[in-house]
Amino acid sequence: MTDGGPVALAHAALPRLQTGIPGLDAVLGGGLPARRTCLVAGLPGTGKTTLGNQIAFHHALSGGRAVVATLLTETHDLLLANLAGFRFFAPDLIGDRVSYLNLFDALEQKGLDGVVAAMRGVTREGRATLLVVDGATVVQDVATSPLALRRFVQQLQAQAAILGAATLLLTGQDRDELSVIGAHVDGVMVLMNERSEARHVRRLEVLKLRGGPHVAGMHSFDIDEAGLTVYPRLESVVGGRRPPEDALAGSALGTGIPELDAMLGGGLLPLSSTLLMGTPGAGKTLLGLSFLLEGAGRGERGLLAGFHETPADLIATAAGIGLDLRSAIDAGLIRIAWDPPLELSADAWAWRLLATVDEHRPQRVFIDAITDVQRFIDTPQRMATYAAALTNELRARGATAMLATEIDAYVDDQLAVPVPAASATMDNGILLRQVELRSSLHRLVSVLKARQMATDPAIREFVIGDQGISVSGLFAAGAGLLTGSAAPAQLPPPSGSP
Amino acid sequence: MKKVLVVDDEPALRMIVHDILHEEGYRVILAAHGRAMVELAARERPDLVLMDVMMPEGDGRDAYRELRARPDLSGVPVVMMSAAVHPSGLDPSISGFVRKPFDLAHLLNVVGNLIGPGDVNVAS
Repeated sequence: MTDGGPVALAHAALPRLQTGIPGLDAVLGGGLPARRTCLVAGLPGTGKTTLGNQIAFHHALSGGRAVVATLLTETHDLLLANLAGFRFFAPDLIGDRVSYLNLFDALEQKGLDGVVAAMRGVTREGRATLLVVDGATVVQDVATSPLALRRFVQQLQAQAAILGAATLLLTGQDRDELSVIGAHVDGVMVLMNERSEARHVRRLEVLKLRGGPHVAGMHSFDIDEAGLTVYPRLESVVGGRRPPEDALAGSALGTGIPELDAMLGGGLLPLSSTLLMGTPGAGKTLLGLSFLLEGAGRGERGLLAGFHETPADLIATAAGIGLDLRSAIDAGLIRIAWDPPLELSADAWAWRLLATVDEHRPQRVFIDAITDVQRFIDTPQRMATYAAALTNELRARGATAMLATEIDAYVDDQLAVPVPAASATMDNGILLRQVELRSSLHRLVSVLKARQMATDPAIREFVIGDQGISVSGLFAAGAGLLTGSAAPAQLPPPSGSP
Repeated sequence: MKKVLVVDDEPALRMIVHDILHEEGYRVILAAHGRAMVELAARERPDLVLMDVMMPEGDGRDAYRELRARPDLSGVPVVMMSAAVHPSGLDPSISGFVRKPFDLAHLLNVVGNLIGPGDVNVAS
C-alpha cells in the first residue's frame, strides 16, 4: 500500500503562519492558520491593504512566497507607490518572493470559477504559501446568488488546504454583511476606525478563528511608518502570572521617608502595588521620586512613567528639595519614560511600559499618574481589570509599583477615590492632601490600607522642605481633614470652668 | 488518457481535485458517494479510484468491498482518503491512503506512483 504518511489519531493544533505584525500573532493565538482561508473585513481606510501587504512581505522575508492578487482595487503602480512609505516594503522581494497579479480579467471573463482557477494557477506557478486577495468585495457583487458565493468560498477553502497556501481575503464589507462569506471561511477579523470624541481610534476584533484559541474582544492598533502595530487589550493577555514565591520574601522597601515607612508598618512589601492618591500639589510626584531614589541609593533600578513633567522638569523639581535625580539617571539606575498626555491609547501605553520594564528591569516603578491613563481608556468599566493586569504584570516582572492618582477636588464633602475600581486591587493606599486651616494650607498624609502590615492610623503632616520630605507628628489641630475642609479641633475646656 | 474516478461527498473538494488532476493531464470522473462509484467504475473502467472513507450515502469501505467482489473491477487500484479514519482501520489490500487535508504534491505523488504521470499535452 502507498502510505500517505503517519496519521495522528488525535489531531494536533493547526500550524500557524506568523503575520509579523507586532501584537497580532498574540491575538491570533500564534498567527493565521496555515493552509486555511481567512477574511479581513473593514470599511475603506481601516488598514486592510496595509495589513495584507505587511503580512505578505513578512512572509516573504521569512522564506515563504506570497502572491497579492487584486480585484478592482487601485492599480499596482499606485499600490506600490503607496506601500513604498512603509518600512516593511522591500522592493527587492517583488517578483521573486512577492508577486502582484490582477484577477479582474479572470473574474470578468469567467466569473467566480475563473477566479478560483486563476488563484490556483498563480499559487501553483509561483509556489506560493500565502495568497492575499485584495478587493474581495467585488466577488459578492458578481455572485449570482448567496449559494454561488458560498460555493466559491468553499472552493477557495478546499483549494487553500490542498495547495498549502494560506489565503487572506480582504473585503470592504462591514461586520454586519459577513453572514454568508464569513460562515465558510476559517477565520474572520474585522478592522474598524471609529470616532471617539474628536479623534479616531483604530480597533480590530477576531470574530472567529478555527483550529485554536484566539484572544476575543476588541484590541486597539495603529498604523505608522512601520505598518500596523496591534495592542492586545492588556487584561486579555497579561496579569495572570504570579511571581515566584521566593521573590515575595525579603525586607520591606523604604519610601525614603522613615516616618512614612513607620506609618506603613515598616515600608512597602516587595512586589506590592500602592495607590498614591492626592490633590494636585500635595506632593505625589515628590513622594514617588523619593521612593525611586531610595531604591537607587541601594543600587536598585527604578522607572518613572509620567505624563506631565518632562525629565528636565523632574530633575529640577527633585533638586529643589535636595534629591539628586540627575546622578541616578546618569548612573543608569533611574529611567524616565515620559509621554505627553495627549491622544493616548491606554493599551499602547501599557505595552510600551512593559517593553521598557523588560529592557530596564526596574525593581521599583512609579506611574505618575494612572488617572491620566484612565482618561483614555475606551470603556471606564475596564479600569479595574486593566489596573489589576498592569500591577500584576509589573509584579510578575519583578517590580514594586507605586501608582499616583489625582483627586481633582481640593475640597469635597466626601473623600472620593479617583480610580475606585482600581483601588480595590491595590495592596496599599496612601492619601496625600492639602487642607486649609486657619488661613493656611497644610499637606497631610495618611495610610488608608497596607496589606499584611500593621499600619499607623494617624493623619500626619507631610512637610516638603528644601532638604527633603519629612512627616511630622499627629496632626491634631483639626477635624474633617480628609475632606480638605478642616475645622479647628475642640480644645478641652480650661480647668475650673463650669 | 488515464482516468481517475474521484469519490467524495464534499462538492468543493471534488471540484478542486477534479480541476487539479485535469490540469495534470488526467481525465477525471466524479462521484458523490460509494454506490455511484461502483456503477461509474463498471461503466468507465478508471485506472484509479480516489475515494473518501466516510460518506453519508455509501461508505467508502463498503464500496471498496463491493468493488473488489466484482471480478471485472477487482484489479483497479483504490486510494482511500480520510481526515478521521486511521489506515489501520481499513482493508489492508487498498493501494494507498492519503490523510486529509492533503497537500497537492503528496496527492500527485501517490497518483503518479500508481498510474504514472498524466498527459499534460492533452490537458487544456
